[in-house]
Amino acid sequence: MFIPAYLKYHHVIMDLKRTLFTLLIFLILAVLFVYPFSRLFVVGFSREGSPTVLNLTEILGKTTNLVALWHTVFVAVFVTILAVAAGVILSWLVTRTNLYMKDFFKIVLIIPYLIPPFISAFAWMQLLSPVGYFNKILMFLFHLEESPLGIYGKYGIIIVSAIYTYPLVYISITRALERIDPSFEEAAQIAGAGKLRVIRDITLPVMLPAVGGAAVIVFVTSTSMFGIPAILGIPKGYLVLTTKIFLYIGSYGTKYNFNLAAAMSMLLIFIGVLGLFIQNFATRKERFTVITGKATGFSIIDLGALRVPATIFVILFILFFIAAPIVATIITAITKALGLAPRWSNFTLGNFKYVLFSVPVVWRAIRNSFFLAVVVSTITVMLSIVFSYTARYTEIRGRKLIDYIVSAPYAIPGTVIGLSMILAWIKPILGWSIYNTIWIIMIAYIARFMIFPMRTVTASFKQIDNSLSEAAQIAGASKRKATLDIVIPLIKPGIYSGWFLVFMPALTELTLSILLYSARRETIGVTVYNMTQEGLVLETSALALLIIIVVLALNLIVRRVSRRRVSVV
Amino acid sequence: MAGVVVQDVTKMFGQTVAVQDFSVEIKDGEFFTLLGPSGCGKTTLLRCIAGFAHVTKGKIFIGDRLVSSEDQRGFIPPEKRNLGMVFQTYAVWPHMNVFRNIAYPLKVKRFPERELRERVNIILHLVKLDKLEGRYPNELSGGQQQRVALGRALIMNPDVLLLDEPLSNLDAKLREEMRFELKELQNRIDVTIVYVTHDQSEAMAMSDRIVVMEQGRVHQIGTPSEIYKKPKNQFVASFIGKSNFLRAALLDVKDGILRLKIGSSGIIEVKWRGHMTGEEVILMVRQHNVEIFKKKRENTLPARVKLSTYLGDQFIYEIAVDRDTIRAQVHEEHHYSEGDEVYVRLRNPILFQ
Ligand SMILES: Nc1ncnc2c1ncn2[C@@H]1O[C@H](COP(=O)(O)OP(=O)(O)OP(=O)(O)O)[C@@H](O)[C@H]1O
Ligand SMILES: [Mg+2]
Repeated sequence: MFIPAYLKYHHVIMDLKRTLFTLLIFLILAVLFVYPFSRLFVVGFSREGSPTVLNLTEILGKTTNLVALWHTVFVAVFVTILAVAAGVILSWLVTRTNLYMKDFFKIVLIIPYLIPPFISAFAWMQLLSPVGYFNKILMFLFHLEESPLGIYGKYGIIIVSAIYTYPLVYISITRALERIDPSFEEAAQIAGAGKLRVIRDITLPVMLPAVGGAAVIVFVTSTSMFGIPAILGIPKGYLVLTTKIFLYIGSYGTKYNFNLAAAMSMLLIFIGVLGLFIQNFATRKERFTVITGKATGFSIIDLGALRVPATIFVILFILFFIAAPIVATIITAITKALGLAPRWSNFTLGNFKYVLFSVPVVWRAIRNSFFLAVVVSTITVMLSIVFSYTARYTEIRGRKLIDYIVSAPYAIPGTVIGLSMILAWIKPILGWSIYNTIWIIMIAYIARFMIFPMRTVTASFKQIDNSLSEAAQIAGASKRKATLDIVIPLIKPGIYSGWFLVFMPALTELTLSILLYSARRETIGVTVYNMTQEGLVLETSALALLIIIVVLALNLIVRRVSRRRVSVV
Repeated sequence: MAGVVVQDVTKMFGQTVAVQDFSVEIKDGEFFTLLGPSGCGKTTLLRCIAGFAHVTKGKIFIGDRLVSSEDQRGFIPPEKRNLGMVFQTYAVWPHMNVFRNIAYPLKVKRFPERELRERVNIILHLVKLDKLEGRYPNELSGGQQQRVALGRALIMNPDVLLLDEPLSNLDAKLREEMRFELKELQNRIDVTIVYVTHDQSEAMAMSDRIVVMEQGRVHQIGTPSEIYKKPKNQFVASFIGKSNFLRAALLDVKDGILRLKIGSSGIIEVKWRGHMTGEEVILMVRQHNVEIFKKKRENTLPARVKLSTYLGDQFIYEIAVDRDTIRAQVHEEHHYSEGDEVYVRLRNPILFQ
């Protein structure tokens, strides 16, 4: 058969293109994920090039490490209990009862999740440190010699972490409560069960998988948190695994410090993987699938005489756990000197002026963080589109692997990702080093946050039936044009959500930056952290307050502009 | 067992009127059906009877107990009304197995373990789920789930059984089967049934009496044959059975015989006992009451075959009569082709003003 030469060429070029494309995708995945994490394993299980389990045994043989492991689990258990209790109760009150001011509560109750955790920890210090406002008030009221409440150590860490994580429960339970088939509950009522009985016998058990899933997420999140235990634990020597790893990495005097830190990371990864496993196991039982039909809208439960007390309860919750630390930060930020009473004559805007105009690192950090946040969210979103598209529409080999590789960091705490990046890039590769540059921070951010846009974009791809772009092709569009004209516009909401979901946490990231920053490469998180370490309380408060305002304002704007189509969590 | 009395009930959702001035007396032990097009307020009325919706106006009695009225004080909540209900989505609880689903109403009433087991076993047998008591809902077919819902509704010997389109989620064959099973079940256990459907053949096959409703209002209440044979108005006639409507001019009335002129095509005589005045009337005739002839006969109208459809055991013809088009359903061997000039006779017509 005769084949025109240009057609033959065409074929070869197409093949070449496809091969190059595949190589490129897996090169990116290798640089971002495979290489750093395999370095972590290699370093954790070897010394000076020869494989050994000595690191692990040495780690497990030291009491302080076991104590840190115990602290991690202890804190996580209590954080989970508190966050689940608060999240479930608040969510039920706000979605299913005739509470007053529900629309207001709905927005306000997720605020703690929007504020970066280390900022929360700092804000709580203003309330509960030995010179904090709560303590001062209590000492004044009861004529006490010493401050009655303490923020440093396990209780502080547990409280602040629980406040940071309960919105995760609140949001997922609210979604589940809104989806539950109302006739499940009505059927029980017809069967003779009163309102409380319906909640006990039907609502709670049907919600159990959702509650369990949320609990696992909170538990894993809590074990991988760094900012809160760093600020509230390290000063008093109350260490958890993440802070312990952090200290190991920094202690260059210790022999094999990287090997030991890597070995310790295995413990954290183990907890994360175990959590994922439990979650998969719990949701595997299909028996709990909630079959929903024609939704008639769920019934709202009349709280009756409890309506006012319940509303007051939620208001008090908000005042104590959300408003109080912010107000404390505001007061500190506008006070002239530490320890002055909050009186009009003692107020000033000098702290803001000082922070913004007299500390050069601040503007540098803001520039760096904005640069990183914009670039990282854009790159992750673009990569997500390519990855999801490849996984769904092409036939290249190994496309199923992409999702697994990208999802891996979900079970890996930020501190461990940071360590992996150090191990991967500390020595120049081919005479080329990114260590001590902003690029290593960027790569680490990409690896850590990749999963957010990956999820939203994949979810939007899933909703698009193949026939939509096929119809465009039938209408004469090339495959590329069909993708541009049909597919991309349809996944836009997922793209925006994904971008924003990366931008917000990247802007105030601490865990990775604190491990990877170098002089002149500070981020906002690093700057705030270092300022707290230097005891610049007034200036830190001013900066923290600015961050809180910017973060909340951005969230509010995005909510408004997108008419709630872009979710913040 | 108890009857249900609905007295002048109006139910509004904000500005939307879902049920309006609705009155009906459902007798003890009756199989009573609420029939009407989608959105006419059937579910809303049922939920008022169940107590999930508060009436805006009017009263509802179950037995001789006032359960709902516009002033909320006498309101009796659903759990105290001694009802059984099968929801459209079945609402079989996913976290309980078949046994526990059915036993739940007894559990709430704290029945002793032995009696509970006995009664559940009787019900399991009644709804033919003997072997499946340990299964979870996701391991059941649609029909089986529906039986669980039914068993759960029956176990407390409810005064009234409320069924909201219980068959609409089943496939055609199973639906047919369940019709008979439901009917037979009622004969065995003597319970008042209020049944909601928008499927007229379902309503005809099962009910003792039917209320035909539209936009929250009652059109007609009666036995299936009353509603079929003596529809009160055009809406009922069009909703029940397959009907044709023709406009006619009333020429004169003599000894109960009306002479009607259909367009310009011809004049027919109709026997009609009711009172008719005015110049225009609407003539309704069922599709199977249209006879077709090749030649002109007494009391026929000239017509032309527009379309013929073969359905295996019968033909459906679309026939032009003057400017209107009617449909005829005939079993005859003789076949007419499209374009044939024919004559039609309209048997048992019903006239509306
Ligand atoms: N909770 C509600 N809020 C506002 N309007 C409602 C509500 N429930 C029902 N309606 C309205 O009341 C009317 C009657 O609804 P209903 O559900 O009773 O209809 P239906 O006869 O059961 O219809 P279908 O056959 O489709 O189930 C509809 O116009 C519906 O939109
Ligand atoms: Mg309905």
